[in-house]
Amino acid sequence: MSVLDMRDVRKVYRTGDVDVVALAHATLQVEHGEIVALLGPSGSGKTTLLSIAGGLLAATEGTVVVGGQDITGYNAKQLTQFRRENVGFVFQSVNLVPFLTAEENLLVVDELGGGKGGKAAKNRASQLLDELGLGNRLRNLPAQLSGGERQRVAIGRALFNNPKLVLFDEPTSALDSKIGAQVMELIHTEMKSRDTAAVIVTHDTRMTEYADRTVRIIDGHLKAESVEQTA
Amino acid sequence: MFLALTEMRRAKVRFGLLAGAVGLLVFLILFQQALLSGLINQFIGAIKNQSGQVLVFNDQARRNLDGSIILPAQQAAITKVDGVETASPLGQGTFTVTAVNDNETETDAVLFGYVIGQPGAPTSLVEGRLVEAADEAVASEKDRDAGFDIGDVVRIEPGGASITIVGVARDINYSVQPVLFVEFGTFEAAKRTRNPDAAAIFPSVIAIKVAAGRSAADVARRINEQVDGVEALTRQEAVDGSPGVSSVRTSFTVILGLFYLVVPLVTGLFFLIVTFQKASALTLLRAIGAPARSLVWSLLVQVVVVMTIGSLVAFGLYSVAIQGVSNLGVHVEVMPAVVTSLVVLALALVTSLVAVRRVLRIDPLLATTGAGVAL
Amino acid sequence: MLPLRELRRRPSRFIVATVVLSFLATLLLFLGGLLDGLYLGSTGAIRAQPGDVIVFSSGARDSFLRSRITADLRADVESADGVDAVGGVGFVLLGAKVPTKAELADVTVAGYELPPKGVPPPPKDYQGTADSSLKDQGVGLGDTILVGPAESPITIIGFVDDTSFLQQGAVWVNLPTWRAVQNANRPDSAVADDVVQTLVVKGSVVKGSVVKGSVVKGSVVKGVADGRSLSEVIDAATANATSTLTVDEAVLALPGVKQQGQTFDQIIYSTFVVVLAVVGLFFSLLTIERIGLYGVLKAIGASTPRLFAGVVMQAVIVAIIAFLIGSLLAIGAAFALPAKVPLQLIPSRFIFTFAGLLLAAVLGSAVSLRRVTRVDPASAIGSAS
Repeated sequence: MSVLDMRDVRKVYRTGDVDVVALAHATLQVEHGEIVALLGPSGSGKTTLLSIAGGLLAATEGTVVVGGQDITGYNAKQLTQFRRENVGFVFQSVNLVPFLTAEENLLVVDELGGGKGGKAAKNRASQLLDELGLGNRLRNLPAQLSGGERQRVAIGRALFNNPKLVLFDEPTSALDSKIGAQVMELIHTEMKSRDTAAVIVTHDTRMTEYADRTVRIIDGHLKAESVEQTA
Repeated sequence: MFLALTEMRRAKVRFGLLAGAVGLLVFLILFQQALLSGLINQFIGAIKNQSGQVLVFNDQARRNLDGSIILPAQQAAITKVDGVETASPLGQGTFTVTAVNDNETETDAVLFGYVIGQPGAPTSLVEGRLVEAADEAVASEKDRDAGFDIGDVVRIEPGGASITIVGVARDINYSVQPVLFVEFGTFEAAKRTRNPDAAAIFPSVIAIKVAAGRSAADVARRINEQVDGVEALTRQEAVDGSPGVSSVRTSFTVILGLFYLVVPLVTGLFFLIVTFQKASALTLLRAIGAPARSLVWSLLVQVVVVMTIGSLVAFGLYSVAIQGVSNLGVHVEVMPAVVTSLVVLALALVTSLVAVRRVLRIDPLLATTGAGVAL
Repeated sequence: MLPLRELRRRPSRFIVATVVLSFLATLLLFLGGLLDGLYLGSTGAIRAQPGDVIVFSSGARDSFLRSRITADLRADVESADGVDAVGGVGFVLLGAKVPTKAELADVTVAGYELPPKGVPPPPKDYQGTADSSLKDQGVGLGDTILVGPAESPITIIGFVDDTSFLQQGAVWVNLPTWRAVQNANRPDSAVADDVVQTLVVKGSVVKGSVVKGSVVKGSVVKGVADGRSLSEVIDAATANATSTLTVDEAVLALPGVKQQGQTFDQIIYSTFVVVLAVVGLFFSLLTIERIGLYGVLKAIGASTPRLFAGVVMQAVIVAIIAFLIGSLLAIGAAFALPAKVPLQLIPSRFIFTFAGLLLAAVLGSAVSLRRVTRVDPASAIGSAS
């Protein structure tokens, strides 16, 4: 069973009396441990697709099943809970809560789920950050971290709840190419070691070498997929 | 100017909220001043709004009309003091009266008796005319609807004269009671109604018109020096010294002082914070050659705009609120409101100077180093 | 964790709101303290009366100073059902010469039979128990003060708290002394030997209804209640030559008390409304500035109620801090003010103000609810910093 199973998903926006089709007949399956790169220029609908896949946006038509859960008809409250328990997000740049330390940015996920931030949660947070090479940056505020370090904290937060699916929105576009490459390496390692499915939206073709598969999207349409050789 | 207004237009919400907060605080100042004025007027409006510039009390009375009487010998001595143009009796007393036109309701009223044409007449007539004969009265406007309107009749009890109201004056209450200004003979008759055996009716105080070119304070001082057993006060002193009024007034002065402190402080703080937040933009502008003067000017313009909008909001709320408490004898007073707003504006500009200093200290060089401005 | 951490790590965001609210809290306590002081200082002598009702003569329009109760009228009152004890009362407001000060002290010479709270039984002639507020005006134990233009002497044998009448501290004397002082100093309001101004009456009253035919000496009353109030019974017994009010009603009838209460209440409630609006304004602004953050939080699974609860929590904490600062300032001001200013800070005022501030904080933060609800989690994606 695929982790992400989107079939015939369509998203239409009404502006005035004109219909804007952001996404047309998108069908996409992503398996456990698979990394899919979603490549397309600005305005191509890749953000829309990512949002629907992650339960941030409801589709106009079609079905979305994540980890066996059909979230197609979910209301806002159900989607909130779904996201909390099943999906991780890494956004382009506004990711972290600016007045929380690196550790606290991870613990907040525990709290949102009703946890009390106890020992178990703290251990998990420090373990994750350690793994991401931030063991000695637990108590730093985002302003005290470099761009690359911030993205690594974001990845840690995305992984905190052991999600089945992690969605990345242009994770390296704000970083220089060297740091960007490091972050992508890290993403690759973490996803594979946990067998977590991942969709990475990007407009940079160089990032595709880290993905198992590249899907192109133009004007709301998904094009034929190409299979990359993994290194 | 352009920059100032454009920034405000783009950040309407933030500046709007500050204007709103300022407006609410200024409204509070205005409202409380009005309510306090109204309360004090209910106690001593009659003293404040009568024409005697100096009032001479019995010195045992402790500035209280109720406990004061002036004997004929004292009145004669007062008249002779240099600077006194006219010295005329003013009598005050609380009586039980029947408001004939208000369903014959029995109530208390304070009568002030004065000699027609002499000091002691009400000065805040709003409708009708002053008395010209016995058994006529000018009533307090606040009590119009309680049978004290022009044309209404009020009867002194028990079994005393019927007095017709010929005019109403604003803010002439005394001791939170309805007031009737009458001719002195009418006042004497009323006192006799209550005490038929009284030998002579003496006035409570002497109301004085000072000679041209003399000051009331000076004349009061002379009277105190030259006449025994009396205490002469200027009208304002009589108002301020009235029992109960002075302590309330002192406290309210402290409260208003607090307001005048906080409103500008808050405004100044806000603009300081805003200045911090746009520090990089300001640095950039300085780097491309904007003179410090224009940035300062820009800030001051914003302060003026915010305070003006805030004041307008305050006036609006104030007008509405005053309608709601008209039963307390309060009315909108435009001049004090305008003065208050100008004072608050001036203070706000002063506190904003702190933000101005911050702006002036910005080093344009920092824009080019890309280090931004450290806060 | 989120709302608390933000308060701790970004206090500057909350400074303006805290300053304004602290000022408003100080203001509320100050205004309340003035109102309480004016009220207590005007009404102490009446509130301390040891009875259920006060009897006035019917033509006096409930004025303590103008009322006159003759011996016959008193007999009628004493004969009424449910009346257990009756005491005469008289007040006269005068200035008194005090040994240690040049300025006259403002006193109320109060004649009594039934001792008010804290006052001993009526003393010998020309001796009196003084209200403690007179200490500030120079009155000391054992002093002889000279009252009024006639300089009637009264020797102070003790002090009692909270028995002022119309802002003038009472000196409690026996009835003959009061009469003598009144007649010597206010000849136009002289009273005959067996006349008093008002009567204070202790009655057998069960839940506002008179109990017929019972005698009480401080014990629980048994009997049949006849449905009428003590006031009604007394006025009926005197054929309406009297107007009887409960002690609370008599207090409200004192000149100025009702109007001052109304005026101050208006001011105080309008200030609470402003507190609500200020909280609403400032927290709206904060919410707007946090919209991006809320988007991210909603995306990772924060619910609207949780985010909104955070706003409320911050508003409440700011209100609490403001209350503490305001209390300190108000207490400090109370010390710094001259004794003439009738400011009294009593515990109930603090509680009332605290409760009001909390309520205003919660309601004020509710203004942001819609905005928090409308934040779209999808806005987190594709947003540049």
